[in-house]
Amino acid sequence: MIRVENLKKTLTGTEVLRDVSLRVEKGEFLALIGGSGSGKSVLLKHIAGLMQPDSGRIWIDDEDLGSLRGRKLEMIRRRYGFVFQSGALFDSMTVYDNLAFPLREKTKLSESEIKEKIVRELEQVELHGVESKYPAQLSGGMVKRTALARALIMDPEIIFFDEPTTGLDPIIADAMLKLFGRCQQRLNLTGIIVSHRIPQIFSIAQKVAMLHEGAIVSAPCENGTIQTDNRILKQFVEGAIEGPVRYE
Amino acid sequence: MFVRLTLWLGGIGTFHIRRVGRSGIFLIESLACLLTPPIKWGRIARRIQFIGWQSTGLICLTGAFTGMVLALQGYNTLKRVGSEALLGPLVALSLIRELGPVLAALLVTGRAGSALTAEISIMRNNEQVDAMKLMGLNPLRYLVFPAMVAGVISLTILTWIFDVTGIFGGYLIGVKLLGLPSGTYFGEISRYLEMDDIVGGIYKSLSFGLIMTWICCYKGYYTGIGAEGASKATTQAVVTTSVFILIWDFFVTTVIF
Ligand SMILES: Nc1ncnc2c1ncn2[C@@H]1O[C@H](COP(=O)(O)OP(=O)(O)O)[C@@H](O)[C@H]1O
Ligand SMILES: [Mg+2]
Repeated sequence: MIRVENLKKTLTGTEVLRDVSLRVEKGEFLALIGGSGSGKSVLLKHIAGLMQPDSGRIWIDDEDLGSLRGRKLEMIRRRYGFVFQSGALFDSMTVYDNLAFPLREKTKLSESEIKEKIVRELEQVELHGVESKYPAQLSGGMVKRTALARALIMDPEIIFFDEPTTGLDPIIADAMLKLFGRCQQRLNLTGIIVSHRIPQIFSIAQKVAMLHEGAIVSAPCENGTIQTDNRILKQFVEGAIEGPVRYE
Repeated sequence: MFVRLTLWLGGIGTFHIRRVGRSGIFLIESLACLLTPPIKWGRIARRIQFIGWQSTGLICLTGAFTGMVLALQGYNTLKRVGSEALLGPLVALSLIRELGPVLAALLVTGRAGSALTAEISIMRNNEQVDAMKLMGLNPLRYLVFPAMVAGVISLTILTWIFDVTGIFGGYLIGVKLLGLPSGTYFGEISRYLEMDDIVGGIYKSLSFGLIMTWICCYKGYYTGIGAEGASKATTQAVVTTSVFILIWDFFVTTVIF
């Protein structure tokens, strides 16, 4: 379970997170939406422990992330899988080595066990014949799949997706969303996904949270639609120009 | 008015002090990887290949020309006081004590240091550094420490190559072109060159290697956002390193020679 309480963060003079509170139950998949530059990535990085808040708390189960250091923080991070916006694959390594890297550095698995695991993981994300390619030689969709495979390879319990569908064509983007949904279901992961695929995203998430002016507006989703009376959230989801939020 | 000025200066002051502090901690944390194994030998080897091996051509070329121009200028000056015979020591001592370490360091900074900054800066902006942290791996151990070790080793060797090719370049001009006896050129070098000169030169190149990789990695690690941030960081890295090396060179020279 992830619980965020009254998070505040000012970056280079702008209050990016004003007062963010959020709750994701175990096994739940939350869709995080919001305009570009609204601070979605910043929020995810806080939950991942990559950025420290100015004030507020983040709880992972019963552990206060802000109070953890060294070994304990590492134990929490071991439970995370993170698919970054850019993929964040190591571009000096092949796909195979990208997946093998955390296993070689952090586990005692033998090279043949590592190989077995990588083959299995690549099959799960439906990637074939790319083991010896470098990230620069992959298409956008393949990069995201590789990033997903790398995020899953250490058997995480909590997974974060930062705009995994941005920059992909609509058909591949939807295929990717379905793939993420399937992985999350199969492994019973707790997760947060940032995506602009509306309304497709509502069919894999159980809850929607919108980051707007540094705070969260949230609503549950069921059967591929969201239930909300909030006008700001409605306007964003419907993509309307007219409404409480003005776009210049 | 006075208060505002004081506050303003104070603001700038703390900003710079904080920066110096941060870069100092960066250096200490990186060097601490030496005490806390594992040490990534493979990465060190690859860095030596990049910083050292791939710079040898450049160093040989510039070393030879530096030695040649030193011989030309030195010969003309020495001739006025009638001591052309001392051309060898002039060339060798200038190179070993001063020009070899400094010029090699500046050249390698331009060639490899800038690339190091750009590379780390891109890894930072692509979130590769974050990805590494989330794997529970210390990016300093994988990216910075190997570069520092490789920088120190490579630059020391490259400086030697620079010195040797420089002395040979001086030989070409002094002996082959200007007709100095070859026995005089090398004989006088071995008569005047002392162990202290060589050791001093080595100290210089060791410290320059560390300074170069420290500043270049630091600038890459704390880069700005996007392509503009990366290009700024790269420029700053080269300029800061060059200035720092020249200033440091002065102090080292006053202390060790
Ligand atoms: N490391 C940083 N330093 C300073 N400003 C940052 C940093 N990261 C993000 N920002 C700023 O915070 C705001 C939110 O960014 P981000 O979370 O990336 O937005 P998005 O919702 O599109 O993911 C932006 O204005 C961005 O410029
Ligand atoms: Mg983002």
